[in-house]
Amino acid sequence: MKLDAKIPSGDISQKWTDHKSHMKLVNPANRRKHSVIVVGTGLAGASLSASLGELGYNVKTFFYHESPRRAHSIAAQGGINAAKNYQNDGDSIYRLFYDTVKGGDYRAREANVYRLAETSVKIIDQCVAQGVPFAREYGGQLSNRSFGGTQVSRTFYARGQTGQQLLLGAYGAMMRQVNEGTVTLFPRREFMDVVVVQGQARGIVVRNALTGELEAYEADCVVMATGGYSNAYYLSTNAKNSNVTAIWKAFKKGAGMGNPSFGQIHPTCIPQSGDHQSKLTLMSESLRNDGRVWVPKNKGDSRAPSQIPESERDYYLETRYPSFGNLVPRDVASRAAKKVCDEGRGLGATGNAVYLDFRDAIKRMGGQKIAEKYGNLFEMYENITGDNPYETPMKIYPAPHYTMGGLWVDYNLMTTIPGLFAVGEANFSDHGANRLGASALMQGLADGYFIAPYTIADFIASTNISKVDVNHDAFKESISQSQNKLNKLLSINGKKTVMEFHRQVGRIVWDEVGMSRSGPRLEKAIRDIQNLRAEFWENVNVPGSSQDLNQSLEHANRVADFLEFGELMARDALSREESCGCHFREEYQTPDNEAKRDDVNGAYVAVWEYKGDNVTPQLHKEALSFEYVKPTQRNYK
Amino acid sequence: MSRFCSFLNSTIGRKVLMALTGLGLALFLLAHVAGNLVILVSTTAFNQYAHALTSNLALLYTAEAGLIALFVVHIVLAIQLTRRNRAARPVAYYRVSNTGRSRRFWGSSNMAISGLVILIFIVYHILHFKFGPSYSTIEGETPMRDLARLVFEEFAKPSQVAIYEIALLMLGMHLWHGFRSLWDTLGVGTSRCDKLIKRITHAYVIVVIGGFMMIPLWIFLTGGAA
Amino acid sequence: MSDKNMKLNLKVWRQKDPRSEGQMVNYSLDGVSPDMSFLEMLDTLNEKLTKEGQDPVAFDHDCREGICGSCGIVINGKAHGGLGKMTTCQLHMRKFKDGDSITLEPWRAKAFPVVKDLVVNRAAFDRIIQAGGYVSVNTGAAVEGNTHPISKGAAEKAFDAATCIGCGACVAACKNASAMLFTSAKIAQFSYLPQGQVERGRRAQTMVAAMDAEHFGACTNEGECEAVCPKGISMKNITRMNKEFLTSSFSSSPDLD
Ligand SMILES: Cc1cc2nc3c(=O)[nH]c(=O)nc-3n(C[C@H](O)[C@H](O)[C@H](O)COP(=O)(O)OP(=O)(O)OC[C@H]3O[C@@H](n4cnc5c(N)ncnc54)[C@H](O)[C@@H]3O)c2cc1C
Ligand code: HEM
Ligand code: HEM
Ligand code: SF4
Ligand code: F3S
Ligand code: FES
Repeated sequence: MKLDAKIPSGDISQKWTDHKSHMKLVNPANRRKHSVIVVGTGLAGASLSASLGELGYNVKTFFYHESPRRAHSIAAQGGINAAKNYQNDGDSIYRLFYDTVKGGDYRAREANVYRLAETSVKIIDQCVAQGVPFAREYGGQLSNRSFGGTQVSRTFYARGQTGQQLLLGAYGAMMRQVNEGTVTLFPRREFMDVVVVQGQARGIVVRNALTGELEAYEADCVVMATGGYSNAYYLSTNAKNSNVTAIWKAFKKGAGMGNPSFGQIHPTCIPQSGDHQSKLTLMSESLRNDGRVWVPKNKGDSRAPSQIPESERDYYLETRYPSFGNLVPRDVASRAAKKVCDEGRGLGATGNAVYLDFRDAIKRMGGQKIAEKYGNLFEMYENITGDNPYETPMKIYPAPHYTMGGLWVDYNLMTTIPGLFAVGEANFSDHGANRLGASALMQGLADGYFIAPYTIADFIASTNISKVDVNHDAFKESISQSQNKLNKLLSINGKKTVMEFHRQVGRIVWDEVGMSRSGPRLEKAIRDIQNLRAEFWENVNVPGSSQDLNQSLEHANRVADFLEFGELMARDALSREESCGCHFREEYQTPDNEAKRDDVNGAYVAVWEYKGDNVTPQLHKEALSFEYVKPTQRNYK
Repeated sequence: MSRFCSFLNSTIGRKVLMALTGLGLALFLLAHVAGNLVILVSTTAFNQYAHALTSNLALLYTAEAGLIALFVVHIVLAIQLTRRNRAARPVAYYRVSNTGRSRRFWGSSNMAISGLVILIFIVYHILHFKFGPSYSTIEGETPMRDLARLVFEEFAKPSQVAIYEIALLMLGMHLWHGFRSLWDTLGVGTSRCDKLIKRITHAYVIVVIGGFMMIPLWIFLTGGAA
Repeated sequence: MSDKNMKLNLKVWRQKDPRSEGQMVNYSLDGVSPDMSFLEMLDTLNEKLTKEGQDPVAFDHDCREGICGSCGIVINGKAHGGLGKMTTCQLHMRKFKDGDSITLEPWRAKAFPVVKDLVVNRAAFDRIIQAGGYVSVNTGAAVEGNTHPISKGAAEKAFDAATCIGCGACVAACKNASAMLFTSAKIAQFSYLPQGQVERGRRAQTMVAAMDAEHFGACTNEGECEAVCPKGISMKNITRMNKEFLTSSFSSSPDLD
């Protein structure tokens, strides 16, 4: 596998402009003859489908949801960053670029991040023009708020439903193209395989979830916009159907997988309440502005929080990080919570929870003011837990939330398979080892509206694309392989349900490839996952048939991939011998237990190449160089 | 297809016509109840009023034609829309229950039934009164039909009173929902005037239906003393 | 914890595929924790059915936090359970009692054919949006974001309408299976914003026509839709849509011919 990031030369601020000016174009009259397959209708997929459709390409868009609007992007709450500097607080493209590289703990590609910051400005304009109802000031201007880890106000938002509003904007734009006939939708299609013909990605095989039929589609190129894989942990804030299957299949066809172990654990989520738990709900990070995080000083203190006197409470974030206190970045806050819970000071039946207490804030500002700020969050919390946070402190715990890892792409967002692109959370992205709040939406839309439409055109115009149809052997082979796998799943008739396996693999990944990792435990995790996988293929019980809607079969197909992917996550974590961002290796820490980065040996993107089933994949490294933002140790003390 | 045709073919267009005809009928009822209440004050005045209305034939026929048109349009559209609405849910729920936090009540959900009862009632009512026995009387100098006597005779019978009261209850329900609903259909019942419209609806129904209901009851209970 | 666990009698609509006849089937389920969400209760039922060799109950879901609009079950005769401002996935079992009987049915409407068990097909909603539920602006053609000031009030009103999640509970709860709340929310959203003005009349015409073509019923202003809507979309949006439709039907704008 040859890794060429294809970063254009020149000054960082000119790279993208120059690159665009030298790209090849497709004659408008010919575009109709060129087809593009887009898998996914989240922010990235919908915005890309719409933009390509507007340009006149023949776009076929696939997704497993019933409607494109249900993609997981709909759930994003907080907001979207853009370097508009509307607040006159000194923001700029450069500063957004700088913050993102630093926030990512210096494990992202500078050129990509700069382009992202540059594009952010146009995203807001585009969304406003679509009628996205962003929050406004009384004067009618767009409003901003500040968001984790930055000193400027650059986050645009639509109440707590920014992702929803942005997605509906992109969805609308795409539906307009459906109406125009340039985009064709293929709902309820589960991605099964990417088809590579003569070294180029030329189509896909999907399963029609309603009929069970395996269908093949051909195109000039294929784009993966299939989102993140936090569900490898089983419990996460992701939608239940989010999966790794799509990008895993691409990996198996030769696409490099970048930094698979980089996953963000969000510190403020509602903790698990029991074994029945199916997913975790995010509580906005903004709560940490006024809530104080604490646990009892003594192990096994089971008194009600109100019975615990001040002197026996440990406000551990405030004591450990006096200057940032409760507002330390996500990875730091999450790790600290894990630490106190591991010490046996966690709360509740599971022992995996810490208090987020608003008592003092309510005393200081009054319940009314708190209700104005967080009313709907409090309501949501009470709804789920049955506790009233005005009276008793919230319980929170970190949860997997976002995956920085994904398919490795070059500057043109193309994977190592020519003609196969990856956009949005599905690619290994611009966030390095840690993503800043409100940057995923920005990236998804930047990729979809403003980057991929150019680079895909360039690819089509400059590549010799021969005629291929779905009767080609490569398609047939893909179909029969996929069918065999499904048949196998249905024929095992074992004793354990798919859900049980998913929980088990999630547990291993969470314990060992979660907030804190160590060499020996990662090695054990690899063995455990291998064993579990073997058991899965002998003992899973998948009811029903492959000829109709069979949700167990869909789930089984995804869990089978998590069982392979989990191992790669562990391998990746094992191979990275440093701590950076979300990746905390216990062996690599400072004397006061902070992450210790190794900029000499660690400044690379880990790219894994598939070598066959049950064969250890091969690690390649894309070296990262930092010409503009010089790495420094993060310090929040 | 012209825009007007497509308007008439749309659900909203039909609803709008339904609302306009409903409003027309509701205004007729307002006039009718006012006229009828006169009977409780003075039978002479009532007969004179009825006479005045019927003696100008041109006016009478135009008014009747208008009224018939309102009914026909209202009923035809009611049938169309109701059938469409039924067809929109071919398989019924096993269990339906209301949240109790909306305008829905038996009457709002059964406009077609109350409408049908009203229709039957009106036919019956017209046969009994307009085409019923024609007594004559002389009020002042003028010979005219003694409608008041007919009304008094009819409402002396408990069965008649019951029929009227039941029909009026149905009409009341039809309007309790319909009179409020029509403003929304016409696009005027915005959130700002919703409360006002609700009050006006309640006042309208209480006055009109209350007024109508009073007549048979009064006559029956007082034994036609007036 | 376990002493609080409940035993429930479930009556669930089972239908193999769109063509088969369906029926209500009884299941009894033990060990339901009050902390479970309604869908987790169904997960538990499905685990049990799978282990017993029966076909699990199919139901649509994804985000499980009330925003994707996938879930939707008529619970005891009320869409999403009828508490209002809540989706099925947000409903928790502490709202039920030990020994309760609960009926579970799919959304019922001609325009939402049943796919299997509790899963229906709501593609009709997409086709309504496709007919005009957007501002026609190509990528790259936008003006600077702050060019058109929008009053806070208008932005809020537009937002209130825009928050619809497309779940279809309004259709399910309406006795006429009318999609007017859904359609009106989109029409109303754009009617408040300057960006929506150019296509305002056309949008009302094309979206209403698309809605009618899907065989939804007509609204009779009962407002049960609003009462079950997880986002509290006001039925006053329907009033607004009626006005938009009415004015555009009789306007002389050249765009409408
Ligand atoms: C609770 C929550 C809150 C968040 N809040 C914020 C925030 O405030 N700001 C921010 O910037 N980011 C936020 N994020 C992150 C952000 O929402 C996501 O990273 C982003 O939306 C991903 O978009 P996407 O287009 O890449 O993929 P997705 O939106 O996940 O879309 C994936 C698409 O791919 C399709 N698909 C996936 N797998 C398959 C398959 N196997 N076969 C067929 N189709 C498939 C799906 O149908 C779907 O259409 C949040 C995330 C979560 C979980
Ligand atoms: C004096 C007689 C009547 C009056 C005053 C009247 C009035 C109204 C009004 C005001 C509405 C509300 C319209 C709207 O919300 O848009 C309505 C609706 C309705 N009417 Fe009548 N009506 C009368 C007779 C009838 C008759 C005879 C029938 C049927 C046989 C009927 C059937 C209906 C139905 C089904 C509706 C509901 C349709 C809808 O709201 O869209 N009505 N009526
Ligand atoms: C107690 C109540 C009522 C009384 C005493 C009453 C009385 C009368 C009388 C006396 C007439 C005959 C007028 C004539 O021939 O000149 C009449 C006609 C009529 N009434 Fe009533 N009425 C009552 C209620 C109603 C109601 C509730 C309705 C409607 C739902 C109604 C609708 C009509 C109509 C449509 C006519 C025919 C008008 C015409 O064609 O000239 N009436 N009524
Ligand atoms: S209007 Fe409400 S009930 Fe209807 S689809 Fe939208 S969110 Fe669901
Ligand atoms: S319940 Fe139905 S009748 Fe109208 S107001 Fe809602 S659509
Ligand atoms: S599962 Fe997404 S709204 Fe219920």
